[in-house]
Parts: sequence; C-alpha cells; structure tokens
Amino acid sequence: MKSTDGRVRYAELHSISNFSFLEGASRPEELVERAVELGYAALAITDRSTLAGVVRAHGAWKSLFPEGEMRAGAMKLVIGSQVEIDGRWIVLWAMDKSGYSNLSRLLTAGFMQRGGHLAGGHPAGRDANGRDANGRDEWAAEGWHADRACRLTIDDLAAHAGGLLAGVPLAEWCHGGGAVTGRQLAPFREIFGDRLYALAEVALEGDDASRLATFGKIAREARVPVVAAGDVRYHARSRMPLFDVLAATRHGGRNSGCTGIPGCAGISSCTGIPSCTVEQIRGELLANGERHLHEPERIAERFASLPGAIERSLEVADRCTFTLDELRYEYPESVVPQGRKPAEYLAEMVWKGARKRYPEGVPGKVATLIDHELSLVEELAYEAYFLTVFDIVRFARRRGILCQGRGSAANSAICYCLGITSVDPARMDVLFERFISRERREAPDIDIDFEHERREEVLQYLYDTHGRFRAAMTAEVISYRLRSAVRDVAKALGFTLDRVGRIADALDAGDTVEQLPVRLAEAGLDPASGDCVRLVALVRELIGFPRHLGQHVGGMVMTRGELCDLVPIRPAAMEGRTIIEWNKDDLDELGILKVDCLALGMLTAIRKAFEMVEKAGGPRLSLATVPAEDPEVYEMVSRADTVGVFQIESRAQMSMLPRLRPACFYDLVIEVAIVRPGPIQGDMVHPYLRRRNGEEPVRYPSDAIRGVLEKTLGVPLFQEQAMRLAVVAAGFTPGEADQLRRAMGAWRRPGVIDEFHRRLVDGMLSRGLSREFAEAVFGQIRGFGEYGFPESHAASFALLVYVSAWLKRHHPAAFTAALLASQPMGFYAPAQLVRDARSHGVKVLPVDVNASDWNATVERVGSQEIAIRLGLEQVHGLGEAAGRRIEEARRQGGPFRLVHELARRAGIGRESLVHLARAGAVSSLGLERRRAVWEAMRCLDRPGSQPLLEGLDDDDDLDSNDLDDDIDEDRLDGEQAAPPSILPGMTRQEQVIADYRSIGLSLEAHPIHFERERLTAAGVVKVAAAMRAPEGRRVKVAGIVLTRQRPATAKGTIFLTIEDETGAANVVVRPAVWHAADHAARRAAVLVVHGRIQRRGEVVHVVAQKLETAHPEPAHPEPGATARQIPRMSRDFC
Amino acid sequence: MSIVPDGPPLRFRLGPESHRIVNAHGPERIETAWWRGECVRRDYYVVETETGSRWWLFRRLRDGAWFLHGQFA
Repeated sequence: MKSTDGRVRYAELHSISNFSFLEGASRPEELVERAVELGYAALAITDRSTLAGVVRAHGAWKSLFPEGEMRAGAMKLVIGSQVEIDGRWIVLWAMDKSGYSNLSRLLTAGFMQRGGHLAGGHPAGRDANGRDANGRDEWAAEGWHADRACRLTIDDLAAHAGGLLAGVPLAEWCHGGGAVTGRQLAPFREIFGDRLYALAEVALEGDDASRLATFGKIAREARVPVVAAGDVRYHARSRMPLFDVLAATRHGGRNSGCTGIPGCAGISSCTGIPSCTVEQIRGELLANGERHLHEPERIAERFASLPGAIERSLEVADRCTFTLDELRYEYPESVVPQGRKPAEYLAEMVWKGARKRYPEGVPGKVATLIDHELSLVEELAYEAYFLTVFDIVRFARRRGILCQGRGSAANSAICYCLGITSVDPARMDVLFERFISRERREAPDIDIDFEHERREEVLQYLYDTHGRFRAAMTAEVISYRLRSAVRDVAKALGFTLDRVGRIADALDAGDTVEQLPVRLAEAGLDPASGDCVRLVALVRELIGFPRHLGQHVGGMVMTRGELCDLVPIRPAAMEGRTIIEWNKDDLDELGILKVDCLALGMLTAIRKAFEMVEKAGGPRLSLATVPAEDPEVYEMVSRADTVGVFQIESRAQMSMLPRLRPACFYDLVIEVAIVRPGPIQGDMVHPYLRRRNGEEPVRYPSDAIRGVLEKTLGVPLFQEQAMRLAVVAAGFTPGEADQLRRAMGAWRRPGVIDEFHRRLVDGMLSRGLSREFAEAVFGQIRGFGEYGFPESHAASFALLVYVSAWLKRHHPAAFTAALLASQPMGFYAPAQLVRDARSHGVKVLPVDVNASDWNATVERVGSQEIAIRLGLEQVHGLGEAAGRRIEEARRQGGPFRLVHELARRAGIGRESLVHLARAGAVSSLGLERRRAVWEAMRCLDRPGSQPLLEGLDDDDDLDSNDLDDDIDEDRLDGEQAAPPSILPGMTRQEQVIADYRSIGLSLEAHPIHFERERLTAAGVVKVAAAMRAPEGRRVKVAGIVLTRQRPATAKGTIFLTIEDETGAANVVVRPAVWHAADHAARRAAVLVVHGRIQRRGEVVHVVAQKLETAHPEPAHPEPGATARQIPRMSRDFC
Repeated sequence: MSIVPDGPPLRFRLGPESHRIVNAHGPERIETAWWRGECVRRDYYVVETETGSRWWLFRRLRDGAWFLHGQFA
C-alpha cells in the first residue's frame, strides 16, 4: 500500500528497546525518532515482559507530535509488550484502555507468581489489599521474592486477553528447530479469535523465500492472518556491535553461577568466569545487523512474496487506538472520612490546625493565604493529594516519628497548618510566591523527610492502609555509568580481567567518557589501538542504558483505583517492598503523583535531642517551637562553629559561612542552596558574596528580572529563579520552562539542548538583553538542570539547619549525644563530634556497662552540669541486641559487679565480653583493660563449659538460662580474685590506640600526642600553630586522616582533613600532587603533609606539595608494634 | 555481477570461463568479527549455473566486489 506521496506505508509492530535489559540496543526515544524519520505509519514498542520503556517512547512521540496522532501524517505509537507463555514468546498490543490495563495486570500477575490472575478481581482468596482470608499480607510476610522472571501460563493470558491484540512471532517459534504447525496456534486463536495475527519476519538469513513460504503456510493452517514485522532490536544498523556486547554480557550473567564444571548450562566455550567475550559467543550471535528499522520500501521488497502482509501491519496499528494520554490518575480517596467532601474536610482540617498553630488568633495575612490556597486546591482538585500527605504526617505524629515536608506545595500556609511543614508563613512570606501555578497545572510537589531509623514504619503503613494494589514504590532505573560500562564492554571485547581491573583502577570518580582515552593510557594501554577505540565508542553508546529496575529512595505512588491498571507492579529486591515499573520522570510525564517519603538522619538526631533536653529538665521542644531568630545561633554559625549542624557542617559550607555571615532565617535558606554544584558551576557564588558585602553594585537589566532576582541580589541561586528567568527574560511559557528543566536534567540529547539554547538566547536578544547576559543565563540554567536546588526545599532544610544549630548552641551535650545515637550520619565521625563537644566545655564520660545505654545519653553530673555518656554502640564488634540486653539487665537488676555476672545476666557470649573489655567498658568492675580481656576470654573457656559458644556472636548469644546452669557465681568470685600476674598493664599510648581500635575515639589523649617528639624532630609543627601561620608560609603538619573527598566540581582536586592533638586542618591536594604520592600515602592512616598556608578570610587551608606516610609499614613488624599503630579512621567520600 | 546493486548475481567469470547463473539462493548476509578489526560484511549466494554446477559466492558489501568462496561437489 502506498500513501499519496508514493511511499510505502508500513507499521513496525515488533520492536524492543533497551528496557528489554541487555537485549534491545537502542533507547525507546531513538526507536521513535528513527521510525518517524523513515516515515512509518506506526511503531509498536513491545519490550519483553515490561512496560518500563513505554513512557519514554510516549514522551519522545509527544514532543514530535504535540497535538497527538490527530495530525495528518503523524506516526502512531502502539503500546505493547511481549510475554512468555509456557516458554514461548507472544507479542501483545493494547487496542484500548481496557487492553492496556489487562496487559499491565497480566505482567503484574506474572511477577507475583503465586497469585494467579488479576482480571476483574484479586489473586485467589485475596482481598483488595492482597491479604488472604486470615488478613495476612503474604507478600510482606513471606517475601514476594524478587525473582525477576515473569512467569505466565496460557490461563493467565486468557484471563487478561480483553482489549488486546496478539501476534505469534513465527520466526522465533521456529528458531531452534522443531516444526511449528498451525495447530500450535490454536489455543491462542481460541483466546483471541480475530484478534490474533501471525508475524512473518525475515532478516537475510539465506533462505528468506522459503521461510516466508513456511510462515504463510502455518498461518493458513491456523486460519490466522499473516503480518509483516521486523523483530527490531535497535534503531540503526550501527548498533549491532553494542547489541553483540550486550549479548555477551547477558551470557556472562547467565553463567555467573558457573563453576567451570563440564556440562555447565552455558555455552560450550564457557570458561567458568562470570563474563563472556563476543568472540566466545559468536556462534550465538545474530548473523547480521539486519534487526534494525529499515526503509519501508526495503521491507516491501522483502515481503513481496507474501501479499497483504505489509498492508496488514497497518490494519493491526489501526485497531490500536490507545495512547498513554488516556491514563487518568486519580488520587486515593480513602483518606477522606465516609460521607465527607474532600474540599470541605480539607478546609476543616486546615482551620483546625491554624487555630492550633496560632493560639492567639490566626494572623490576617495567614488567613488570606489559607483562603487563597484552599480555593486554588479546590479548583485544581488536589484536595485528596494534600489529605494523603496529611494522613501520612498524622500517622508519623501518632507514632512519635519526627518528620517534615518540603517542596513547592509544602511551603504553603495550608501545609503549615496541617503540620506538614514547620516553616511559619507569617515569618517567611518571601517564600510563598510560588505555591502551585494555575496556568502550568503543575502537580503539587511534596517530599516528606522522616527519621531515618523509622521510615520503614511509614512505608509499611502506606502499604497497609492503601493495599498492595493501590500503593507501591517508584522505580529507580539503574543505568550504566562510566565504570560499569567500561567493565562490561571491556570484558565482552576480550580484555583480560587483569586489564579490566587496571582500567577500573585508573578511572576517577568524576570522569566522563571523554577522559577514558587518558585513563586507558594510564592503565598502560594504547588508546589508539583498535580494541581501545572500539571500547571507547561502545562505552559512549552504552552509558545511560538501563541495567535493571531498583527502588527509588522513597517515592510512593498511591491511587484510588488499582495501581496495576496503570503500570505493572513487581517485587523489589527488598523484603516487603513492591515497586512499579516507572521512575519519577515517567510519572511526571503522565501527571501521576507520588509522595517522596525519605529517610533523614538529622531528624532522628533532632528528635532524640528534644527528648534528652526534656528528660534533663529542659523545655519540651518541637520543630515549630524552637525559639526563632536567636542572634546567638547566627553568631555561632557565622564563626563556622557548626560541627554536627545539619547541612552546613561540611568543609565547603564551613568555608562559606564566615563570608556569608548568615543573620536571619532567609540567609540560611541561601546558605543551603549556594554551596551546591549548580551555583558553583554557574559561577554565581562570588558575585553574590561581593554584592552582599556591598563590593559590587546590583543592577537589573529589566524590572521583570528584578522581580525574579531581587531577593538574591540579582544572582539566580534557586532552581525556581532559573525557570522564572526563562519566562520573563526569554518569553517562555511556564510549561516550556518546565520542559526546559526536564530536558536539562534528563538524558541530555545534544540536539534538544541546542534547540533550547537557541530559543533562550533569541528570546532574550529580542527583548533587548545583551548576548553576554543571555549566554550567562543559559549557562546558569544548564548548571541548574542537573544540580539546582529549589528554594522550596532549601527553606525546609534551613529550618533543620536552624533547629540543629540552636540545639548545638543551647544544649550541646544533648545535641552531641543525639548525633552519636543516630550514627552513621553527617560528615563527622564520633571522634570529631566528641572532640568538638569537649572543646565547647562539655564533659564526656566513657563507655561503661554500669552506666551506658546502647545509645549515647546525657547524664547530670553535679547540680548544674550535663555530661554526655558514651553508648555501648561505640564498642566495635558489639551487636545492638547484646548492647540492649546489657542496658535492660542493669535496669532490672542493678549494677554489675563481675564479668561473669555480666555475661549471665545480660546473656552475652564471650566475644561480646572481649569486645567490651577491650573497649575499657568493664572498668567499673575494677579491672584494668588487659586483665579484663583476659577475664573475658577465660569466662566460658574452661573444661565443662560449652565449646559451642566459641565463635558465637552477639545476636546469637545464648539464653541467660544456659549460663545459669553452668556457672556458679561464688566459685567465679574466687577466680577473679586471683588475676594472673604475668599480664603487664597497658602504657598510656597503648590505651589510646586501643581506644581508637575499639571505640573509634579516646577520651584520654590524641594518638598523635605520643608521636610528637619524633614529629617535632622531623620539623613537623602542630596543626594549631600552622593555622596561625601567615599566608604562603611553608609548613609540615601531620595528623590522622579523617576524611578524603573528591567533589565532582573540583576538577580532580582532593580534599583531606587531618587531625592532631591540637585541631584539624583542611588540606587541598591538587591532582598532580595526589598522583605523585605513592599508594601507601594515599591510603595512609596518618599522613605528613608538606605544604603552604593559604588564607581566604577566616578560612585557612594547607595546599599540599607533598604527601608522605608517617608510619612507613615495616616488612617485619617488631612484636607489640600493632599495639602502637594508629588504625585507619578516614571516612572516604571519593 | 548483478543487475541491481543488492540483487543476486547473474553470471561470473572464473579464469577464462564465464558462467551464466540460472538459479541463485540467498542472500545470506553475514556481518561479524567487528571486534577483531574491520567488520566482515558479506552477502552469500548459492548459485547454479546453466551447466548445472553449484557454487558458493559472496559479495563484499564494503565495495560490492564479488568473490568465489567454493564449489559444491
């Protein structure tokens, strides 16, 4: 069939994208774009057992045909998938919405495996929440294991066949021998009737003519119409090598369990190594690169012997009218009480909350805001969304879980009144210019942070209340990055594992494919060699390809109807979790709302600090009631005295604080947003600081721009501002600005960026702005697309900055204890937190079984002073269960007097005892550390005791009863009275080192203290002295390495923090110096840095010129040397 | 040689002899070994000449040159 312009009309009905993981070698977008280019009438994306790629295809299609397929000449996009039925693949296409839902349910059923079908009901014997008759949620309880195979039977298919067309890919069925007859199609014909087709596919395999004849014959026998299709694996022939590489990787993965035993299920040349080369599997590869999108004319030639097959492809496409635009997302309504209208209920809750927030009466300004916001919410019908979020927050509050919302909609008066956020609109009205924009119909965006230790309770509550069929987590598409792409491509190309390892070692964290040739050279390879050239080209193509679906950090999707009508649900790798197949961008594209329920360590710490303050007789605090705008807090922050404070404790933030000198809440909002890659890369930081210090005048090219940028002195710092700039300066519609934001953030296609660049710059030039300004704005927007921080998030974070800083300023003991009790979190390890607290005059008490709880606590010493008591959690090797039993046993039976008594009452085994003894945690039992260890070792290690206890670890500790039977307390008394005399006590240095090894810090001294004499002799000065040295002075300093960082924005520069007994120094290591240092120095526990002092205001750095280890590791360490060797303490962020 | 650029061969010459092809089976397109260097890209045909002999020919896709791969006994 030809169209009016004489071209052959053809619909490709059988194509996979790279969401058929390791099979398809093109992105869905590439397939759509290429099909449009070739003038196809339609393209069906039919990935294997998944709908994960369809939204991207839809997005690409929409951007090419914004008016949809109504426009003459528009290509149609058919949504489909392939499913494996009893071992054979069959292609399914959605005719209409019901067909699409059936497809989605079918896939969900396949992933669930045990439940049977989902058509018109729930798995056998289960209610809408996926519970069985006894109310058990089987998926949560027994684990709906993340076996990724989608298993289906023909009965499953029959139950979900409505609204679907089906195609039998005859070539695939015939592949691998065995005659396929018409009879084998009969069961499918029975199900689908005239909705079944037979796909004829050829790919220049030598006998195409006879194959086509066979396909025609089978179809006739089965009385099923035959359709031409292409079995497309990639959009263009040039992807064949990548396809082969993926095939090798797939084979390698399949053989990963291979033991090298003959008969391994893999291929004959399988080497037993979990990787295959393309060469090894060449017999399994497709013979040629024909599985791409061809010119329709070419396809018509190939099918000339099968009349009608091409035309029928159009018939199939015509029968499919479904587009993803038809999917209607509806908010869950279960959050509204029976019989109430959502709008009315929401208003009631908001005003109720308002009266609570403002007991002295709701301020007029806030009341006006509430009215405005409520009417907007009603107009856009977002009530159920706000009520959903409200419901989650209310649940958390009932359980005493601290939480806070953030995002554009969260910073609203109604969210403040609903308790979703604690940022008071009466105080910070500057933020509320943007709530939800009416013209943009932008979906409200609320993320909620929860205490990290308790977020799971919230997630399980959501599964519980909404049910497994209405709530699931958003997927995170795990994609190839440079390192993984290099690894898989190199293996497939036959690089030896040793070489693969060397290349991997040479890669730096911030590298892109552009650096790859250099790294190959560093790894001793010739970048110009054929292998390396191929490696680089293939890696470039592979980066960004999806590898598997993981779960998003916290995005929950909840729906009124069943979620699996919209998108397949499958088990996540994590027990008790279920995910949908789409990621956040996909949801965005279709306007489906998610609520991000995120885990935030600082909220845990703040809640614990509030409790400690109250327990110690202080006031009862909440996020909203911590006294606002305390000048002492800002004074402390401006001095960069912020160890432990949320967000502003990092090195970069600390160096900014004395320059910015925050003096009010909004300054903190700016501080949070300014030290980010976006503003840094966009070169916005220095102009802002200069203008703030009055060193540079603020000029606005126009009043409209002034309106957008005034609050940040003309410098765009927030994502919202960058988008507003596109509107007011370049004439974008709000919708276009949003597209721009997404185009920058998502897969960066050069063509798309160039187009936006042109439109932005032209738009600004036509409005009389200079090219220089226009280019600068474009650069900023580009920087923001990826990293920009929205003001609406910065505001909520700033509140946590303020609250944590306030706690540090006024309740330093509780604050530090709470941080210790919430580890791991933040930038600093317990050693630095404790050191910082002590330098602020806080007394810190050691770990002791007779005083410590599992977590750090505060203790009153004397009448006024509040001290930190370190928790048993500090003891390396001690499990939480054992630690909590000690706490409990002491609470019930009073203090412990003897090691054996401790073991018995707390039910802890020998290993735990030894760990406690090493940590000095039994010193209240009157034992010096070495003797305590000896006692602990002896504890159960004598004839008649239980040999099985050996090696038992904490959580498997025995019942205390078992010990009761075995140990006679009186007799033990006598034993302990006679300690062996051969054990020498530890030196002070050994004790400090033992502290570091066993609890990660020491209250006694700093390990470097004992090295001082030697260091001084070597010309090394103390850190405190170095910090006072003038600019440019050459110094040698030494210290324990605390952190190693390599920020992506720093062009390979490494930042180290080293610490000696006088303080910490920040060391800047340029890449050349880093690479000149030997491996031992790069990973050393203690480092000597030769460098120069660099001063920038109050910020002092040591710019390293040379690094060396302070402890060259001896080949034959002398006896006892380890007892004096400082252990590695560094937290590495690179 | 062939009439259409991608079509089957019509005749071939081997030494002094010219063979007219009456039947061609193919093409079987082979694209492989790209990982060893240049990709091998060939269209193979099994042909029958007017004298009844059967040959295996291929056309190199890079430049369209024809080669004889072998003769069927």
